[in-house]
Amino acid sequence: MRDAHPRSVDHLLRELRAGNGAAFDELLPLVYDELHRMAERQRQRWDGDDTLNTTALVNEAYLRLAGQSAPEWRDRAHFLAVAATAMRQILIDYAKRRCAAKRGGRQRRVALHEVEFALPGGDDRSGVHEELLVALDQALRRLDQVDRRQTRIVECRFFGGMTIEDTAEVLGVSPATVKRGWAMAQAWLYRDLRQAVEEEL
Amino acid sequence: MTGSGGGGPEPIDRDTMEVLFERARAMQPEARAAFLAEACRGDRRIQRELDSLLAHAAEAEGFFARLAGSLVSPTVGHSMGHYRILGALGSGGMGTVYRAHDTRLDREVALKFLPPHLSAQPEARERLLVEARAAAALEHPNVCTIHEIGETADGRPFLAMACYAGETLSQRLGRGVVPPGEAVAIAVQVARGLAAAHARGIVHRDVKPGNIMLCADGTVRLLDFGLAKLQDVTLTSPGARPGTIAYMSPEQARGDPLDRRTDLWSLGVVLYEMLTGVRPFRGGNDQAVILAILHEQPPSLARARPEVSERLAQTVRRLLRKDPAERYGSAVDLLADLASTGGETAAIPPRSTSRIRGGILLAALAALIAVAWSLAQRHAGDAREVRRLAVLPLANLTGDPRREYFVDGLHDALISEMSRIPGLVVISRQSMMRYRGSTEPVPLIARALGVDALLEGSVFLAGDSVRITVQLVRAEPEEHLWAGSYHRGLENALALQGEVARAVARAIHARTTSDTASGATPLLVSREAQDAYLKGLFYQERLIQASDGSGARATIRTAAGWLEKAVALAPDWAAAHARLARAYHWLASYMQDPRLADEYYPKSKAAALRALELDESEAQAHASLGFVLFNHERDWTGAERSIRRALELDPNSHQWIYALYLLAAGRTGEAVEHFRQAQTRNPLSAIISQQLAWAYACDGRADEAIRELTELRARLDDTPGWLRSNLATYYLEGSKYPEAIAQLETLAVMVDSDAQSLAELASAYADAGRKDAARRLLARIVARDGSWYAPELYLALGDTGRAIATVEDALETNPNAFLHFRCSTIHRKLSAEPRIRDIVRRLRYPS
Repeated sequence: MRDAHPRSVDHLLRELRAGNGAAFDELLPLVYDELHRMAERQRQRWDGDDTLNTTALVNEAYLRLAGQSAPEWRDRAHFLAVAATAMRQILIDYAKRRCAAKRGGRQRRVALHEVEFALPGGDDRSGVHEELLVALDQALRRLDQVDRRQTRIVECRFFGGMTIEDTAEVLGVSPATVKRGWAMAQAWLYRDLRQAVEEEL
Repeated sequence: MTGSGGGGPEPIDRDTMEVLFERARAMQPEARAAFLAEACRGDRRIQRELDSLLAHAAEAEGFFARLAGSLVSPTVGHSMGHYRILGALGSGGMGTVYRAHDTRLDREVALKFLPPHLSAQPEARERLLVEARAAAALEHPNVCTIHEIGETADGRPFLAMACYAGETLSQRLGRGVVPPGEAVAIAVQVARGLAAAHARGIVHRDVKPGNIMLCADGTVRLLDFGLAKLQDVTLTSPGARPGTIAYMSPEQARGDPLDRRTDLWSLGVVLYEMLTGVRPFRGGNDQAVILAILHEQPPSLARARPEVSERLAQTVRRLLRKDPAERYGSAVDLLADLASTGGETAAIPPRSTSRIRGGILLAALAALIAVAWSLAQRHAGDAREVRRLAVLPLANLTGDPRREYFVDGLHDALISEMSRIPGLVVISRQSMMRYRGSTEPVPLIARALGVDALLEGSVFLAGDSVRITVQLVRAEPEEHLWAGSYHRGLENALALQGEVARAVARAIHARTTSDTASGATPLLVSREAQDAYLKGLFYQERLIQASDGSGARATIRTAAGWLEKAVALAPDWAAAHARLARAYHWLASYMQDPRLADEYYPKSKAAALRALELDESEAQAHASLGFVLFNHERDWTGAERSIRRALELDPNSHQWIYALYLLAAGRTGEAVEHFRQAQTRNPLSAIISQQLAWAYACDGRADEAIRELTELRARLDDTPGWLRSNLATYYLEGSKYPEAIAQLETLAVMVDSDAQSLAELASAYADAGRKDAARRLLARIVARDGSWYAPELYLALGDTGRAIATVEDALETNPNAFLHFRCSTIHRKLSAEPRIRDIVRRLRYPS
């Protein structure tokens, strides 16, 4: 029933590569649907406790949607960028739903110690990743007001699991720029997250 | 909100901020303030913002790495390399642990992924991995076995550990206190594991219930040796302490240097907790816990658990002394005391669930074995297809780069043992070395080398013993055909090589000729002798792999020195004599130095003869003997007999020497054939390509010589000088003057006025009819030195007499240069001249 997709995805990717930014918005729902369907299937197969392997999901989605006709390497990078945005939405939706389920429908803010628990070496058992993801999504919206490129870098790197090179390719900047932006964005987001949590106290 | 520098010429944009952030990040914190003040040109707002971001940078990276680690962690059903993830085993401070199936060795393992941000600190990571490898070399029934320390495709380090049925002590404690007898039995086993580790200088640093595995069979195993330090690295700020500080020793809490007594403290805390169900040092927050560890005495054990004997309570008190000097000096001392707590050392009662689980496991195991057996039967048929095999460089898991020679030596020995298998073509070591540490997929490597199967493995050293693990993997479809693991004392390391090789041979359904021969080193030689032998082989290999001749003489001398030592230590060891013969014949021939030739050809012959006296099946000795016979003694029939015997014994290694023989004997067509055979075994070797091209040229096939070198040039990253000059020679042969001159002119510029290339250029000019240019160059060369290449030039200029005289001169000084002369253009051009025929006769070469 999705027979029409491969061709249109190919077409849209070519458009995207040619610089037609509108193709991104057209692609997003297609990619979102596919990723969402696959993620659901994966979650049904395995215990809901298991984390999603986003990289594998995205790659599989790519093969399904665009893989039939020997697409170009550049197309793959552009696909990954779309998938990163879709993945962000999917993961945040899951996280919200799981928070809600845990807290009996009420969404809860993250506590400061929970942010610290998520630091390496911290005790992981508190299981606050969902809350952290939701908080991160909100911080990312704030970053978007300040620095659009850094937001895209975070989407690609963090949610899309993309390499520096792939990210650089789709954003049309140098890998060094991606590296710098990624480093600064992490500091910005982490500080913002902490501040948001501290204000709540 | 405009900064005071807002009126400056260029406001600082986000791009500049990113650059400044990156630079400041790389600096020492003390240097940052001055740098930022300067760089922000008085823009206080930007300066404050960068300062604040930098203050969060370290924690931010850790935070994202951790969060991302949970997002992209491997999921059930996915494969990481040869591991297929079966499910999560649990998660702890170091990240999630997965249950996985090792598809190569067909066993279940636990996979632990180390935090990805470790890769951002390569030095620290390397140092810690070395330590983890040292811990991995620890084999003890009370220590969890680490099978492999590897890296995922994206550079994330992971550990593959043995997977044990059972539960952690932490899980056990969740069900309540442990009876004293059982608690002591657990402590005894933990102490045994610690004693073994401490004896090797490994401190655990993180003994806690979560790291103590109570296996279903009643054994207790310590997990995560050597990992605590990895965890320390992740502590990027004082605010981020690991979750489990309750088991830290006072010295650890203070950040003092640690020794084995820190582990004894932690074991004391664990023992206390097992007995009472609570931790001895508690507090509402981390600081309070640390204060208690540093300054408070734990509540009396006797009061909490009256049934605990005073003796045991005393032991626990001593383990928990603040001053390490007042604790037990070692885990062994502790063991003595624990043993004397008498009746309390009851065994850990096997739980009924464990027994049932054990039963299920056994049944599952039996099923697995049955499947594995039937697979093996199926593969046995397919395995006949293995006709060309490559032995990948063995992974050095010894954790000690100085052991490289040992690992390399084993690799070499494996290749030569495998080469004895009739009908099997084994790719030479030289072509394999580029795959050292490679993560290229098997099918790709196989395609590059044109092989059906790859043998890969690793070497593990633990004290006086060595463990070799080998796997035979068929390339397409990628399938694991066979695996074996060999564990021996170092004394037998060489016998072990033969054993591994023969086992693989059986697996691929071939019979080795060495089944009955004595060449498989059943001879027991001392460890020193083996060591010297392996070092000798290592340096010989280094020479073969060197792309240029630099340092060659020193390298061969070093190799010869080690082999001389091996021979002195084990005078009856045929293999060592044979390798020494090779080192000597290289010394004699490689340098083109007549004095070395006179000294080392006889030595090489003597060593070869001694080797053959001890073991007639030493192929290398026959080959070396043959080399000496034709190159030095001009005994052409004897040489051919020896080399053919070497080929019969080991068809893989000595094609090359035979080809050289044929070339020297003027049998150029046959030489081409044998160089080509040598090349199929050594497809990536530049030297063989070079010589094959040479043989083509001698055989009058200049076009093929050019094709060979052009292909080689495409394979190499850049074009070495010799390749250009050889190519030019063959262009000249084929009368392609413009091409030749183009190469030679580049060369003359590349290697400024090098006599050899200038001479070639001059003769190219001459051949191309540009005699004036040739003469000018010739004058320059002759003014510098009477080069070997001059005769071709004289010939090109039409002065045949002087050309011949130059040849006579050169051969008078160095008769060993004849091989080169015989295969040179000038020989072909002059071979009909009576004076040249005379030289050939005088030097006793077949005409």
